[in-house]
Amino acid sequence: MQRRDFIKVTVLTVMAMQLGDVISLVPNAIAGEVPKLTNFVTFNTLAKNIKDIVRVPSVCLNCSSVCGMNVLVKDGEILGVEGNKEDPNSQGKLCAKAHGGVSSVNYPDRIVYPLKRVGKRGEGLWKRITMEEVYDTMAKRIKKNIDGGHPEQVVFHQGRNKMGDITGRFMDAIGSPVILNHRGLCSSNKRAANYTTIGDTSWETLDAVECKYLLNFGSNFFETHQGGLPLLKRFAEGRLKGCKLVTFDVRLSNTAGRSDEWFAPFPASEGVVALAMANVILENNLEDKNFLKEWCNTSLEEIKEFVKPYTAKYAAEVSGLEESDIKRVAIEFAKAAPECAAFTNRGSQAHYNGLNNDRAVVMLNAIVGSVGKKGGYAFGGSKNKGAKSFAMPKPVPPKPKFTTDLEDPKLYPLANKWQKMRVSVLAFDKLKEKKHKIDMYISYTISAPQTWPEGPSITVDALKDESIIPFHVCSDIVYSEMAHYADIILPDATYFERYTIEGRNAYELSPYFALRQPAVKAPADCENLADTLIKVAKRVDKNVAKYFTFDSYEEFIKIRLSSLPSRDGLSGFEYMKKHGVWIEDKPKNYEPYNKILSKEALENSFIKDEIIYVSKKGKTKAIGIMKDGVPRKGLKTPSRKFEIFSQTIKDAAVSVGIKDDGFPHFEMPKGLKEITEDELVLTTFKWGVHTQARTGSQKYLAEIVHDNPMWINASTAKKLDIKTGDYVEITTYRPKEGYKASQKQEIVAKMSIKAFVTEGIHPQVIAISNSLGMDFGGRVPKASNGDKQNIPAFTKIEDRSLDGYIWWDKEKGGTGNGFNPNHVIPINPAPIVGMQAWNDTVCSVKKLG
Amino acid sequence: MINYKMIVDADKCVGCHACEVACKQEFGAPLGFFRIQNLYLDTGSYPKVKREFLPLMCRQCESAECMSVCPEGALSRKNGIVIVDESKCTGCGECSKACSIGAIYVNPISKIAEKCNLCEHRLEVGMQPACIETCVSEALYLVSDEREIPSSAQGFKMKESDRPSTLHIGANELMKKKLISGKPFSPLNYEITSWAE
Repeated sequence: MQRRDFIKVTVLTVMAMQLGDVISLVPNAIAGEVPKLTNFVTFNTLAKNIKDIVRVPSVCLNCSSVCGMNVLVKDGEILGVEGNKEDPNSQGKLCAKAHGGVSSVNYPDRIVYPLKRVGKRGEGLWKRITMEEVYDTMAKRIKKNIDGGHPEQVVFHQGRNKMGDITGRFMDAIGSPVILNHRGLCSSNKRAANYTTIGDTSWETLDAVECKYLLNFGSNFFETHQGGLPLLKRFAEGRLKGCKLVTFDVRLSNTAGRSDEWFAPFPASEGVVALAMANVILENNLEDKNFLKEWCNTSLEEIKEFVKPYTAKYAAEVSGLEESDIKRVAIEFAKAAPECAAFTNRGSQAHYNGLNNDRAVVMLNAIVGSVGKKGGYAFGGSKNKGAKSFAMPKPVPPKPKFTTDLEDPKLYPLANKWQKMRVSVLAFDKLKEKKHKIDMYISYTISAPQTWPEGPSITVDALKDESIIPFHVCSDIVYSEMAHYADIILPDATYFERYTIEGRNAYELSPYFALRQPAVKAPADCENLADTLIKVAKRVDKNVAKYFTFDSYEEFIKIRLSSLPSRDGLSGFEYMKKHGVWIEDKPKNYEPYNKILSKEALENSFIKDEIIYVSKKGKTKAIGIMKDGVPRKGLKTPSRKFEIFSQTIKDAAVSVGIKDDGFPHFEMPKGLKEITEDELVLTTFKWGVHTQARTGSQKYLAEIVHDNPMWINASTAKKLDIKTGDYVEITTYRPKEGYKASQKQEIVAKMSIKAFVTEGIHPQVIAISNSLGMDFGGRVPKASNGDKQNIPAFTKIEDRSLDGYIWWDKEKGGTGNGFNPNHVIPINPAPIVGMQAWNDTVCSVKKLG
Repeated sequence: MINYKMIVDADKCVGCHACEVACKQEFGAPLGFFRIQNLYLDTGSYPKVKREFLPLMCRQCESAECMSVCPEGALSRKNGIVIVDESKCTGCGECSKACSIGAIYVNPISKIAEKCNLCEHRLEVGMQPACIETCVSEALYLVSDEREIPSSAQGFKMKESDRPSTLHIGANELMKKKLISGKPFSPLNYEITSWAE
């Protein structure tokens, strides 16, 4: 044996737990004896095997950017990943998360057998069961709900699912409409702003390689952003050609810190800055008159009128920025047109007024005429991954003909208008208040106790209470915050071990899609939830089983991709297995609104008020607009134009008793408007090396970021006598409008946390990252060295690094595993859409003695 | 013989840490030990603040001190790369003490010195080093022709006698405060409390 190999020793003591063994997954609880590991296995390395590696093209899922990757495999073991150069979005590049995700496969604390709760819920006592028992238990429970006439009492709660094709089919087949998600915690205000304005997509696709000026309101695309890596790659190239980046963010993110200019507006004031910029551009006659006339539903005069109150001086007062900066940047931006783009993300949209903030920013693109232009605010061009492109296997179950207020809350009329964004932030509170009766709750890729506002309190309260959630099945990779409160834990397959039809907004502006495929077989009893659901569906009853005539998710995917033509002598499916991506040979989708409709498209069409409609199967659908006698595609809004004024928003607002004239406007959230000098605004953010909850257990990512002290501006810290490392107490207050509004400084909760004093944050803002401070997930997220005897999971492997080398473990003098800010952040859905206003929490901070 | 030379353009770096994680995965490196580390530095006062990055790895020094101090002759230089001969290394750590930036460490499990070797196993099969291959902003690249070296590239030296082959563009001198000559890259460089100027 070579010396370097001495650590690669086969485990001699088999420690896999046996069927029926009772074990504890929380420390200090009563549990059966688990054999102590006496040897370690460390993994083979890529460096030693690079010559013999097998490349399996697939798609990363450590974040939602879904970059194409080759999984590098040797003898059934994944040794690493590399970018798939054929992927048009990521173009052969991967971020830290993509590489770090590899460790999730062989994470020694991974759950690889199904478990059934034997103690009280949340007590942590489990026994191993078989997958057969799982299928039967789930099927019987579902059958009971169907037979009882209440299929809606079966709830599916997904995070980053990506297999909606099968999970949606499953829910449709059993007749339940209650699918909850996390979009209202993520991006729903941004998506709604884009849908209402440009119509056919929730996500802009900036043409950053050709761009000269990027005006960034609250996106941290150097670290996160949905589609961040493809955008960053193109910006890096564009920057070499002179693209200027101006970022508005309350905190010095990597994006802000590497921008040509960084401005920190007061939280929620992004919209007033954008409206003032519009005003400045119009005052200086820098607008694109032709675009506004031809393609905007709002006239120049109307725009001038509604932006009039938003002077640069007023915006400066509200935002705290310099009036001269607002004017200068607006003019610079407009002069770069059409090779310029204004865009948004969490910094602008995760506010109570976020919908209008984002509408105001997006509007700037129309005013300067960069919409759809080369180097501008491009969009569209993606290949649809849904049934439209790849038909679902027949027979397709019908959608339930009813909804419930749990997944379709009437108070938020735009939450589900374009896509199902839901308002799941309210779900646990509604359940806790017994406004909805449910019986079976299936959770998947979601860690709500960790990631929900008031998650550690309200979410946990609901999950713990068997009278609220009688039966909880959780599919997960690790013993997560969610799994801890389950009745059955399903050992999920990682994204390296399963299929998905993938893709996102196409940064090359030509349609593409990708295929995630298993690079290795999932270990032990681990199974892709899709396959579990197929097996369960077959056992419920014949009415459900008839929609599941295929035996596996692989077969299901094969059927869906059977419509692909053969390419390079391979069937569509085989081509995808070999290449991982499918690119359609189409020119870049610039100015999609200008496209002339073909004769075929115009068949059976009629024109009314210049809008072109077709009627199919009794449904009338707008498909284009007449421009100077030519039928063009237009934008996919009701007016087929870029909608600055929105009747949709006006009507939606009025329907729930909110006054709204339909134009983008600015109104500071009441709590922030009335904030006192001594109070601060708590904001949250995400790191480049982490997603919300699923990267915490990945050792090489946790090594880089594992601690999240509270960012506080140096001048503010000085006033409060706070130094880096001091412990402080944060007291948060309920918002003064909206859900559970309180005018009386009602306290949400208090937390103590370490301070990080920095120049890189607005003086009246504090920031705490999400993703950290976990109570579960194994040794890595808990920053707790030790062997598996103390925290038994069920694989046969061990990683020496986790027994003594977690250097940030407090017991080794490290910082520990950080803090979860979510228990002090109030549930605060924004009006109409229901997006959680993450960045609006008013609080006070004091130093602890 | 090819003379590989790494160019690190700190101005282009986006601070994403992909190079470091790709490197650790490549070698299955233990936690707390780094062949490459990206250092962060915030400069300026609010509201005029910037963030700078510096990816740092073995500089493949000409007449490298680690080579000259090794009692076993386990370090040698080939194709512009300073290489550890695992069969000779006894893990004494003299090389680690000799490096002025801390780019070489002794693996606590295998007791063998480890450092950046420009992924020579990849170069042998016509691939790029793991860090370069994944770098989204092309802040890292290899040149083998002296004429390809950008004029702004210069050696990152802790002391005058250092002879780095790897060259940096836009490296802030203040980054040197994060390094301790003779001690491997500190994991504490990842704590955000170390970012301040």
